[in-house]
Amino acid sequence: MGRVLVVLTLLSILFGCAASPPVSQVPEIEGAIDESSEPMVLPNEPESAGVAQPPAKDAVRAESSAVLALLETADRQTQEKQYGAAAASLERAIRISPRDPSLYLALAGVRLQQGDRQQASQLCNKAIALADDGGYISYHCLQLLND
Amino acid sequence: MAKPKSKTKKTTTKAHQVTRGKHKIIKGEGFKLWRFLLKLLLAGLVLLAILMAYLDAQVKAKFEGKRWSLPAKVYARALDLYPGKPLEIEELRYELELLGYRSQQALSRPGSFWQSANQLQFFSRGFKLWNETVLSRRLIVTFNNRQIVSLKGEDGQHLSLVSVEPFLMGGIYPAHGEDRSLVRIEQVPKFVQAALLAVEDKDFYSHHGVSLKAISRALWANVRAGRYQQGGSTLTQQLVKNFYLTSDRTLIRKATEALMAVLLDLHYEKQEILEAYLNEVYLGQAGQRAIHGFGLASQYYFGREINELKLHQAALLVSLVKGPSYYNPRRHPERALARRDLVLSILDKEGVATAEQINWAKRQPLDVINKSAYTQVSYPAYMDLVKRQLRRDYRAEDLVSEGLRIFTSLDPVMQRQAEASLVKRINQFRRQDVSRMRSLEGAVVVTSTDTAEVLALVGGQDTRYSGFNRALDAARPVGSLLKPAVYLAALENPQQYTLVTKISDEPVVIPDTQGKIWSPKNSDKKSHGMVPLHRALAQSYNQATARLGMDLGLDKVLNTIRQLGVRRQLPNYPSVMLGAGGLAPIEVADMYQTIAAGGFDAPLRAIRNVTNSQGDPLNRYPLRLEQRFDAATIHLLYYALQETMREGTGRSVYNYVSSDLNVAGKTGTTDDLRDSWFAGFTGDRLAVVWLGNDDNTPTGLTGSRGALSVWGGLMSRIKPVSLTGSVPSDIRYLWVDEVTGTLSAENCQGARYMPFIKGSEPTEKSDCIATNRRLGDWIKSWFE
Repeated sequence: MGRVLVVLTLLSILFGCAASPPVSQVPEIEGAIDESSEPMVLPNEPESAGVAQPPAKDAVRAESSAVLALLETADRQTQEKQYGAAAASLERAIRISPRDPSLYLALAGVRLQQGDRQQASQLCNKAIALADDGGYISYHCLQLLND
Repeated sequence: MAKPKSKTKKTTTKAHQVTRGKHKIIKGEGFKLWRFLLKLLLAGLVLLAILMAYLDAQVKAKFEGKRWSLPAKVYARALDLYPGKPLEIEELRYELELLGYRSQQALSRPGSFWQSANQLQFFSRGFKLWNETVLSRRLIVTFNNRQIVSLKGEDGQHLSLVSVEPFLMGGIYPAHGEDRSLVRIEQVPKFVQAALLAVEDKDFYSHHGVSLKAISRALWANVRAGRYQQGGSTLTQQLVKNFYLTSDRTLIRKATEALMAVLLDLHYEKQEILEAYLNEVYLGQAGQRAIHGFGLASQYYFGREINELKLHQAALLVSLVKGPSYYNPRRHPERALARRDLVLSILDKEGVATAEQINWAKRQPLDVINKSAYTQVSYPAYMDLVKRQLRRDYRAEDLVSEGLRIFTSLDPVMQRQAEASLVKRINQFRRQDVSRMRSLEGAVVVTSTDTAEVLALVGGQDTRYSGFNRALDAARPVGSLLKPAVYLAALENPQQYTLVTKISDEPVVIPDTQGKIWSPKNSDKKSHGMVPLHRALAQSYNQATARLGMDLGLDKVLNTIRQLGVRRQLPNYPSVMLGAGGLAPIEVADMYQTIAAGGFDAPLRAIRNVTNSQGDPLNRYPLRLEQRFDAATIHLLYYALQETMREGTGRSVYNYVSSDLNVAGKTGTTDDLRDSWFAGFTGDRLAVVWLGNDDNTPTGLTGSRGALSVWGGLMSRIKPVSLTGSVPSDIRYLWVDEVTGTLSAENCQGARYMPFIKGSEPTEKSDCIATNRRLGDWIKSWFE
């Protein structure tokens, strides 16, 4: 299983680049609307702020070095059979990069080691749902759950 | 009993007899007395030995066992710093100032920082987290464009991830009780130790628990003064008195104290005794909390750790040993200052510091921080949530005595923004419409969408008030917030319902089980005929929703609501679909969390983990997921909820946030404009806002005008990630005509690019496609 995680670590590096949302650049417009000391007026309701669109392709992840460091820690902890600690490290990585499917896959691996097959399976589902290429993650999930 | 020997002796003369007899009697009685005294002495010694053994056992048992009842300490999340993290320099500065860091260019000690244009350097404090030790070290953080671009150690080495110690947001105290923050002797600066000993017990290192020298010195001083002026108790005796005995001033208690002090001194090292004293001593009162020990007193009076104390501050703490109430620096600053300077003079005399240092210290003000900054629970509403979650797993007595450390997911930066957004808007509304909104209230819940962690919680306009927590306890009708459940229930059956399926928005009359009639109207009082499903949700049509819900069946809708994570039993009548049932903001957040997380339910969590007082891991609250809805179905709902924000009832959000930001959400307004709701999410943050009057009178606010404006204000202050993501493999996007729902093309008028679950795509073509084809055929014929 340690090997599986090492492999997952490498996979995540590859995967991470295509799976995390970009940091949006929201201009500071609050001052113009909410900070006003003038008597409040109902904000003009725009007729339309554009039409709902399909999701855009995600940009490159900037926080990968932090996630990578945590994956390495989780990998070491798994090899030392400190599964609780490994899960904590992976959840910390998920907090940093919550839409990285490989992190959920790695956490599924740890849960499986802890004997929690049901959570492992749910985490795999989450990984598949987040992945652009669900087939690739599905393949690894199947491998993991059938191991 | 043996007879006296004299009675058996014979005598010759009477006188002699008498004299001798008398002598004999005297001798015999003296002997008897001696024997009696000897026995008494022996008995006394035995009793003393028993007493000593008893006291010894007592001394050892308490000193080696659990010495103090320690209230649980509750911490905010530890801020993770890493290159690429979206964070502004001012936000890091805010966090550090919250932690009591002070601006100091030299960065000579932990707890200091220095800010330049785009760089913030700080000397972090050490801390033990659940499974990680945060090192105390100097760090250089460089920012650009609202994010961290580089993180370095003082040696210039690049670091990938560093935690800042978490903010202590409060404790869980018994109704009345002692509070302390334990320190180890190594953490206490030498000059603090020396100052304490110089004033309280000069001979500490040379006596054996009691000091005859100190007693005679005190006695002499008292005789000279003609009144009680000073005591001769050693530090060890003071510790014994506080630790083991009552405060009675009886001779027996004094003797017991002396004996125990000797025993304590016999068994333990001086440093151990000093450490216990430093943690035991009473140094102030914060409401019903008694402030004990130098560790907590440093935080309580100066907002800093004990190892960060300066000489004048240490002298003030030492001053307080004599009388924390009499010399209370907040209530009696002159007295406190005079006493402090007296202590400094003693330190000068005893050579604890140089004359120069003493003079500098005497020039310093008292330096005491504002009391409210430390004594009030920082985030009472969030603390309430934490306590409720803890009570499921811990006994109440353990929470106030075991010194547990509770690590939560509260984000102080987010909390501050949530509070500011709500308070500012409520104050504006209150001023704007005094008759209806003078007591307007509100609540906000902010969570992280994929991890289900509660990041911020505001329970009312008075954010420091620890009473009624509207975020958790104000169960109010939710209006249209339940509508997404009706549409989700429909979209779960793609063969019957797609986003373009036409549903009727004609007036509807529904009899309930009691024979009453329910006939909901649209907010614009109009009917819109046959409308596409996505439009009915985006425009929040009541008639269409009621019809759709009844077609699906109330049970099916209620089941979907339960699947979304609403645990409260909602009444089984049709008007529930339009939000007649009451939910608290946290329950609404639980429901929308499942949608925002792509159909995965995860109970909202406020606590990450719990350690014991030494920082050893005890319990962790892991991420637990359960997929409740298919990703493709949720994808369709996202489309409609984004349309709500772009074109429907939520479009005013783009007065607050950039049009680049994709958000999904739903407004909610109840009858007579009593409750104003908004629940919405971006790619990483979910927030639910409620506004209303506590007495349930109308406010005049719709969901859009009220709650959504708070939500928009909040999102403009934080840095939310746009709602993007993968397109499930069984979703296909097609151009369709928005009126007819038939297949269309990009260049056709009224064409929309919309998602369909594979197999449910429309097959009929619009006229535009037919015309295009005819046109294409005509052009094609040119080249044939």
